[in-house]
Amino acid sequence: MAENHEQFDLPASLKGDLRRAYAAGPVPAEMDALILRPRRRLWPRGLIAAAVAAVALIGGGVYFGTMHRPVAVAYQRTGDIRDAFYLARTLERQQHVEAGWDQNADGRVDRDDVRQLAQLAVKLPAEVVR
Amino acid sequence: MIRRLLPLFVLCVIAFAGAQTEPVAPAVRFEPVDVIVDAGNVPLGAYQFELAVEKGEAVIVGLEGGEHAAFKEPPFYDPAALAQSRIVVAAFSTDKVLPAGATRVARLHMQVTGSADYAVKLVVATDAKGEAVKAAIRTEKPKLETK
Repeated sequence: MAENHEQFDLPASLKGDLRRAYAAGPVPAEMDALILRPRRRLWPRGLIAAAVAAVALIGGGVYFGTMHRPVAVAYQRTGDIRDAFYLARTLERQQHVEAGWDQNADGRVDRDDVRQLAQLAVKLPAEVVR
Repeated sequence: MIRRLLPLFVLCVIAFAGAQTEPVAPAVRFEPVDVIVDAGNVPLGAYQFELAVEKGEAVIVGLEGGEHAAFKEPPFYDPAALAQSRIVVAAFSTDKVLPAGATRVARLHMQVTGSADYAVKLVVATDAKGEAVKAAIRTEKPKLETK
C-alpha cells in the first residue's frame, strides 16, 4: 500500500499550486447562522387567499346577520285593528302574553280579549251615533 | 168686474199650487257597495277602513265579508253604525294563505233614498306580520246577477 501511495502521489510543485488555488478562508459566522437556522414555513398563496376570503365571509355574515336580526321590542299599541291582530298572532303562536292584554279583566288573555280589542278599534265616536 | 173675479182667481192659484207641491216620495232602494283593498304584491294580513255617505241619503243596513277565504267571515264593525251613514270596518286573518293584489274585503248593504255617493278612507293595511303597508282602497257598486 505504501508503494501505491508513493506511486500516485502528486508532485510537490503541483500540490503547492492546488493548495494556493483552492485556499478557503474561514466561513463567516453569518453564513453559518443562515445555513443552520430553521427553514421558514412558507404557506401556499392559495391557502392564504382562501383563509382571507373565509374570514371575510364569516365575519361579514355575522356582522350583517346581527344588523338584520329582529330585536325583541315591546309592542306599542296603535288603537286600531293591529292591536287585535298582534294579540291573535301571539296567542296562536302560544307565546307569552302580558297581563295587560286582559281587556275584559277575567283573569286570562284569550280570544275574547282579541274580539274586544277589535270591537274597540271599530267603535264609532258617541257624537256620530244618533 | 175684477173684484168679482179676484176670489175665483185666488182659489185657482191655491188649487194649482197645492197640486204642484204634493210630495212625491223619492224611490227607496237597496244597493250593495263593495270595498276593495289593493296592497300590491304584499299578502294582506289586516285592514281597517272608514266609509261614510258623502252625498245623498243612505244608511247602512248590512255587512258581509270579502271574497277571499281569509276574509270570508263578516268583519268587525260597531253595531251602532247600522242605520247610520258612517261605519268603521276592520278584519284580520292569521291564515297561511292571504290575498294579494286587489281583493274585495267587505260588502256593505245600503238603503238608499234617491242616489248616494260614498267616501272611503283606509285607516291601515298590514302584511301577515302586522306591519303597516301601503295600500289603495276604493268602492265599487257591483252589478248583481239576476236569475
